Amino acid sequence: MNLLFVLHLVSLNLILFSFFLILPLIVSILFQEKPFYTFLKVWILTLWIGILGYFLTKKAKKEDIGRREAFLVVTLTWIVVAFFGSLTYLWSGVLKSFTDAYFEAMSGFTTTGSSVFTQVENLPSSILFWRALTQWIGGLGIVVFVLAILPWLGSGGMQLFKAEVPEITPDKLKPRIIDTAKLLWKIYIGITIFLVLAYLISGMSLFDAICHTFTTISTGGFSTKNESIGHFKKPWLEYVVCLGMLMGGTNFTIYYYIIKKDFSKLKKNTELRVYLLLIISFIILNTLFLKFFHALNWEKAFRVSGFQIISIITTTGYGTEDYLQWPYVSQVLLLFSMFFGGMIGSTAGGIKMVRIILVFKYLYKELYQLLHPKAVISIKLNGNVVSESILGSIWGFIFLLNLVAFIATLILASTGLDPLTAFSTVATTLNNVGPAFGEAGPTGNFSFIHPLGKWTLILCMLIGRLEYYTVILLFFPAFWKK
Amino acid sequence: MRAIIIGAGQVGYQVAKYLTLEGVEVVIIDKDENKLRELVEELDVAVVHGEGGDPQVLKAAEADTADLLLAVTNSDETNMIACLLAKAMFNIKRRIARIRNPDYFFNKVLLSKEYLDIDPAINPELEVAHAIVRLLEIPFASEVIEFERGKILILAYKIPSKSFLIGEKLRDLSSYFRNRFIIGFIVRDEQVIVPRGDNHLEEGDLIYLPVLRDNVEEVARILGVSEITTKNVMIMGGGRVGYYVASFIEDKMRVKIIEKKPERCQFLSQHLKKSLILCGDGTDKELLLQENIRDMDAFVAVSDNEELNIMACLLAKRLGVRRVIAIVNKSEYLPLAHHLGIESVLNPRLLTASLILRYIRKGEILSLTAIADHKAEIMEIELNYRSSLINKTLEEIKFPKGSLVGIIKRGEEIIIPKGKDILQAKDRIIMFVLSRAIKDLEKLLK
Repeated sequence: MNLLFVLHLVSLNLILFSFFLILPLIVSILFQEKPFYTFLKVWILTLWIGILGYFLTKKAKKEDIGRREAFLVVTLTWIVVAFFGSLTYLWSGVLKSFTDAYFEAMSGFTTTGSSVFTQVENLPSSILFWRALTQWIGGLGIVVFVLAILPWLGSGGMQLFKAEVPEITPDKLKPRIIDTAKLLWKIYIGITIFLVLAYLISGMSLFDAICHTFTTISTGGFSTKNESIGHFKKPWLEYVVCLGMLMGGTNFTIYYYIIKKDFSKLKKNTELRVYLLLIISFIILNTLFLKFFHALNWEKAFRVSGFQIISIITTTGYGTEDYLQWPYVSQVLLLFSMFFGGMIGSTAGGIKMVRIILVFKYLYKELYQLLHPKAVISIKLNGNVVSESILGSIWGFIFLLNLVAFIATLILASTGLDPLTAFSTVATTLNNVGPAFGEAGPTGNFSFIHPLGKWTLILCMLIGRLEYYTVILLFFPAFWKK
Repeated sequence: MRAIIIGAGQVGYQVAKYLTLEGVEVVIIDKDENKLRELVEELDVAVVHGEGGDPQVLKAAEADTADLLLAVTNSDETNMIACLLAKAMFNIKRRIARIRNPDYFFNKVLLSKEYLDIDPAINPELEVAHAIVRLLEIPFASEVIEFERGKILILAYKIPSKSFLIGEKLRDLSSYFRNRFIIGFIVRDEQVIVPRGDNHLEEGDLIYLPVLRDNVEEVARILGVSEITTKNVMIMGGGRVGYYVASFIEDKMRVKIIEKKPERCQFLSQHLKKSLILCGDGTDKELLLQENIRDMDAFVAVSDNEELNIMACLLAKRLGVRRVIAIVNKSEYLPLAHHLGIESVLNPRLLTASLILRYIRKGEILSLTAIADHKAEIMEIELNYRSSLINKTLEEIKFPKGSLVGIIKRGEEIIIPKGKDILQAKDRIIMFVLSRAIKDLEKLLK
């Protein structure tokens, strides 16, 4: 393990990240708000610590980045970036304890959207903007941003990329990693601009439109309003937000196909089909529940179901309604929808559609082979055969998810939470959704949770965002052995 | 630039590695999925799983946007089909293929512009044979690289233990070299040095010298080398390489070939005119002694078995042969073989890769050859009228650290460069450059 080189790269990431802090600085100037000094201080501190770290570790042997180094660089980058992000909340005085500030920052960067704020409308605009921006940065990934800028990482870049954006098959949009990262950012910025315009037309103010776009497209879920999207009371806007969330949960490769007008690939894409079909069928199911058990009219039942199902499955976490008032059957549907997640290669969290599809195909194969022991069945995705080792890693993924969820729920319950609250807060943070059930439901927040519980949830957010293996490996003894 | 490489073997790997460093977009096609998965771990390339000769696979690799196709699978047929498809369906401008089978390779019609139009087709065995012949012709060099169709040679010379060159500063040696050559690189302990006046030479250093072919004998005398010609050669292994080597040199040297398989011996005796063909085992000491191994000037081990080649060379060396040459496919074995005292070890795959890279030209750089595991390169550059280098003396030009001009070719005239020489347009210069200086040099050339 080339620890010095790891720190060198993390410092470099920090330097590049620090420039994002200029944006809320500008906002605070425009709104003439006090946090100006906070952002200035944090920016300068972040930049200088980055530069200091960079030069202190300059002697590091600059060899290729191996797998170990990549996992460590990515995890450390996220931890460090969240730390400096949390200083803005702490020093501007909007949050009193470091635990709360770090929770809010990590919840932002991992696009979770769980919050410790009881009220957000009285926060300074620049803080609200920064909160939204952290989600936008985290949506595509901090390291992907760095990769788009640094050309010299070469194949080591691929290791970093894979540690932050796990893929099922070794597909890259472009042969070179820097071009891939650039293309991803171009697509991301393109969708962002499109959505800002859509929100403006639907009647949001420019500030709200930008902040909400940041948190929609990254499937984050922070809002500038206490009642989230429900605040605006505009059915039309809710449909537009639905579209935005769906776009955030879509694999970015799909946009690349659309840009290239390669529609045959779109038609062949199993994951896209399943993603849309699953969402539609869940919406229909929930509409029926709300219509017959909750006595809503058809339009409203469809609209609120659509909004909430999309919000949960894409792991955004916006709300228009307090779903804790809904029939139990709807609540269970929502609770387990958290685990599905969007498509792979999107900004969404969760297990992700493609893994679910492959697991089902595997189960089908197993059952079929019980009847026909000699049958040779190969599991295919979009027409290509998926190897056993990939399937094995997916089973491992799902097992890890269960294991982490179990341990984390135990810890949360030990701090005195009831089983539903404990389990649902873990589920919502592991899958980067946002709101939970019980006391931490859509109208509540996470501030009442014991600090131990909060740190557990912070870890859950990070583990979930980096898709289990990257972070869990650091707890694996063999990782540190020579 | 975008390149498609078919075949993720050692040749494909080496070429891809180099091209990605150059900033070329590389897509690699192979039918072995595991190999591809390992490849993306190491190289910044895209991979496509499938047969190289399948139009669908080429389409998936976006062949229509590629500028270069490189077909280096183990199958000649696949390589040819891929090149044909590349030309007919995807309009890829440049197609390079590895073709082994002499029936295809020497078939002028098949590879011609009207039909397959492969430019160039590369035959690794033939190239290895050429390299071996060059080494036999210049027995004191452990590596010979050709430039300008063989007019200029770069010789690698290993400083022997009792050489008078040891310890002298290069500044003091230059008059002794009589303006016949300068030293381009010194390779010491696997590190490459671009020498300056105050560097000195040590025992075991490998020095790279650009020389004129016509001056080779004089250079040998300057270096104090006694053995200037090779007369008796023993070749172990009568496969394609052994056969090519024998057929090239049998008019000038006495050749004995040892080959195990009787059928192959039949073939060799039918097709070779003067060589003596021996059916037997190259590591059989009795046989070697019986055939006067002590009188041989060179022993060439070119069987399919690389471990056997190394062992046979060691045996030959022990029995008193001064010069031993082996081909070894595993690149891991190369430094080992050097350590064991076999100066000339050829790796057909690396040779093929570096040959291919010579042909992938870029702007003013006509060709380049990597040495010492890509730590340094020798490149041939043609200066045009807009070049920033012309009409200046070499002293005035700020060449990046780790680079030097080895030789200048002006028309038919060859100039050994000195500080006061002025570069002119249309000059061709051969430069010695460390890998880390290449970017700076390219900037200078722009």
